[in-house]
Amino acid sequence: MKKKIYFISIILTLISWQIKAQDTLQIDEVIKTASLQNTFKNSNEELIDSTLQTQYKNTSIDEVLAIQTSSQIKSYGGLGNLSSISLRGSSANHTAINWNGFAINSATTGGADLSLIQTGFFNEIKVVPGASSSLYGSGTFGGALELNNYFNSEEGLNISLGSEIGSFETYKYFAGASFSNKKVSYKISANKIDAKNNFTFYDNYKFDNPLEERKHNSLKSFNIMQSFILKLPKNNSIESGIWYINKEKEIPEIAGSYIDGNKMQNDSIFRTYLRWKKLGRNYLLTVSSAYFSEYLHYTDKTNSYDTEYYINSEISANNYFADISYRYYFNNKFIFDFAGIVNHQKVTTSNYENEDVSETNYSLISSLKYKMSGYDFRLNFRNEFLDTKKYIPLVDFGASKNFLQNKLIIKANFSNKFRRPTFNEKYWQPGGNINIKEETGTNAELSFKYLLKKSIFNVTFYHSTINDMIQWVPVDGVWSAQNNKKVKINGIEANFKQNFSTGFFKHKIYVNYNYTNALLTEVYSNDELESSQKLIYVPENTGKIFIASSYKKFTLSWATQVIGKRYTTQENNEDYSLPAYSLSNIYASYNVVFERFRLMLNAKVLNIFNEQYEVIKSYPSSRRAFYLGIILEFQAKNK
Amino acid sequence: MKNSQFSIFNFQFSILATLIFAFLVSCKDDTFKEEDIDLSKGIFVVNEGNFMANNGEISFYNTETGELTNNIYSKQNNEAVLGDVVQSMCISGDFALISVNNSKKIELVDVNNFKHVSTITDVVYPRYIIPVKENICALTNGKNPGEVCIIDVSKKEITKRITVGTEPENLLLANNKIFVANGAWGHDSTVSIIDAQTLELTKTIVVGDGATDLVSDKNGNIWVLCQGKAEYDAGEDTPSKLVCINPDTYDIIEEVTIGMVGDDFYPTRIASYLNEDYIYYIEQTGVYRININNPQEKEWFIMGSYYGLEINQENGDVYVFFDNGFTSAGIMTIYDKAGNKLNDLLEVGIGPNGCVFK
Repeated sequence: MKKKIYFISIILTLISWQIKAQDTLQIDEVIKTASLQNTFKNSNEELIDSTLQTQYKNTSIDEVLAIQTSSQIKSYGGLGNLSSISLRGSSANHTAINWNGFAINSATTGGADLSLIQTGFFNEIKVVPGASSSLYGSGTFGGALELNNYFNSEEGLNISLGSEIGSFETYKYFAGASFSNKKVSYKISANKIDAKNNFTFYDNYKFDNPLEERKHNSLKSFNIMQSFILKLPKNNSIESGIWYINKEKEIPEIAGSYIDGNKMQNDSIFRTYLRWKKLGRNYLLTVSSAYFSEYLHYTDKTNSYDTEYYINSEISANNYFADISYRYYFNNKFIFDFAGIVNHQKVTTSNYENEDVSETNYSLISSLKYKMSGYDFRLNFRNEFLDTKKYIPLVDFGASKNFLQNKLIIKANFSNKFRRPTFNEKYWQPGGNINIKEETGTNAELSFKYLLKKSIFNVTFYHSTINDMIQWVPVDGVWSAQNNKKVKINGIEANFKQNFSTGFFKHKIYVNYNYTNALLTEVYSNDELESSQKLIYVPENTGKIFIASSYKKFTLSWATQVIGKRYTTQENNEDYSLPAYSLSNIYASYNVVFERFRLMLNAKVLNIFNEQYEVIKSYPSSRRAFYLGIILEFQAKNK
Repeated sequence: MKNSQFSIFNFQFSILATLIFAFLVSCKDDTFKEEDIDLSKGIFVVNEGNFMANNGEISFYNTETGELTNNIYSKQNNEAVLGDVVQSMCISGDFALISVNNSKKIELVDVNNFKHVSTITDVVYPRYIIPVKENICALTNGKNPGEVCIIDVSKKEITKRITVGTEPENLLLANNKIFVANGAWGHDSTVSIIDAQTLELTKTIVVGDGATDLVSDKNGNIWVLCQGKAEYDAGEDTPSKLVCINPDTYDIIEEVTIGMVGDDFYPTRIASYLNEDYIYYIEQTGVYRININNPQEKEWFIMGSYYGLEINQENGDVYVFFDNGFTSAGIMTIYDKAGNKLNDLLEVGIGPNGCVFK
């Protein structure tokens, strides 16, 4: 199969050489230098609105993703607790999370904690439901999340300082500076959070449901990121980024527990990358490398006064990337790209039988994009190898066509997918399974996008499967990672965006609805599976609405999300299901401008109707919370 | 307004649709109807639930009618939640005491109707609980060091704490003494002996790595299940074994190796039928038994993968429990002492680990 795919790739390449590059390339430089994923992806994307991103710049990205996108955020309740993204009914390790093109998913768990990622650090945050495994690599059954910094020559100098005080003894501080001109773009952002997180909740797991205070839940975090892009002569450019995160988090006990708990978690993460791009007349050459280091220290002890921990777990993971990509623009209609990626991962922990474990993955990607008779075709191949093991070849094929004077765009896409087992699934003691297979599956989707002057309506129908889904199950009394499930997911993603004005007010509105029918079709360890059992923690229906209105210096926004009922047991026992909930937030800000200075005062109420809810069973989320913030900005725009 | 594509209809429709959707998905029938459950004669099945999911419960199997009722705590207490990791239960007079490990509590209920009476909370890692004498129960609690908490049921509080070994698990009342197995996952290898009258620790004896469960046999000797050490947890791997001790002299009478180094199985359940000569235990491939008169000969009694094991002392019936992955209903199956299956598979709660006979 692999040989056939390479053969097809070579044939396509040879054919493409026959096409003379007669047309003068009129493609915009920004488009020409776009990433592999942006150039060749077939899936739709959901870009976080700039107003929303500004308003929530001092919060972690899980909050903004929950408000606007089709993603489901699984949070363990309260600021700083583990929070992950789920797309299209898939698991946390089924979404590839990329920072400027590099996957930041953990080598040990396959997911990424969104509570560690600050919204204000990025120029662009977007979700790509159903993203291609051929382009994004392992673990895209749900899709991808992209966190990007890009060159913005119009920004000039901008310095900002801000702080926010909120309920539950929450104090946030933010500082940032950016500078850009036609040659250089530099941005630095830093953020510090200190929160006691001691919100009250009705403990429904205790007799008589007493009102309690969440204890042992404090958060201290510090994050800093720098991004730097330098344009050099002869269309060369260099970009780099450095990102450091430190989080100290008290981990509370589950609701219903009568002790406060002694669990602690410290995360320390360092990420850096360097990229060189050379844009020729008809080609783009990109060479990149990155180094990510993650350290996690988790402890627990029986009593607070104990001097010894009964759990004292340290995990250190190092991730090295090197990739090269060559893209050729034959003409305005035909683009071809060939890329190679090497990713070396090393994990050190006493939780594995051998304390040091490392793996090297190699990927070869060939992509082409071809326009013909009003159709836009995209084809991506990927072959991935783990040391000497060859994974299944990945193919992603899509076509789109515009109708009704480009107002209607219809896209169709088919791809197969896979997920490499994580280090924990293979090496954790006890239960790691060195013989575990990769998860595989397919995705087919059809989408319709209708564009009006200031509104966009988009609906996508998809069908996906996951085979050999990995699950931790008890085997001979020990929880062990096993290929245990087959899953079938059908769904609809619909969203609507509109900008409009009423009188002096300018408005924008986002409406999002998702229908997800995620079913277990087979459980290998259970012959008695009844049909039509739904996947746990996947709501069948979710709806979201975000409205922002502005008048001169005043901005007001409202966000509501409604999440349907979720089952928490495989047999879909109603007794243990989590009820639907609805959350609403309101945000207001007022800007005072004095020459080059801008003072922004803002107020925010989260969960305005004081809803008590759980995203993960036994982990209550914060009820109504108030925040007041102030940001002082100095701006000097480029002339 | 001229350049606006805004339509009042679109806007209102969006809001209306969201509100209708919110209403529809929020609707829930809050009516609760208490059930009339006959708890006079039968067995209480202890269902641990899935860890961190707060879905541990008690099922009741009426041995007279064959009727099984799940979630009896919730049903009898206005849908209240029993808690996370329901580890064990015992009956003391008119009360049942339920040790809920990860909720860090002992739930006290009326054993005749399972109505909530009180919650004892001053525990950090409650495990197994047994009745010792009228109104007095003993509970293993804590890790390193572990302790035995003496609970005065009439006062509904812990009245005494006795320090024992590391990670104490099951207890056994025999010869007016409380025998405590210390050493889950091989973290200890001893049995602590507490005088049941004075409630003082009198002796600690070494039996074998990972002492976790213990029973009396027909002759009054004590059999201790030592699950062995796990390489990943205790730094070395040792085999699981049964150790027989004299309850008066504390001499080790017999040792039977039941597992192998590296088999990655660490048994936790042992049971005996006091009218006959057999000791039953769960091993990797099913339930085995040994004859106390010829203990080195192991007999494969029931094939399968089981999490819980109990014997009905009235007739010697063997109750085995299958955890079913802790994500779906567990299964209880009853065999007679000849190994014949007596019932269809009974779906109990999640993660059943044993039962209490009433």
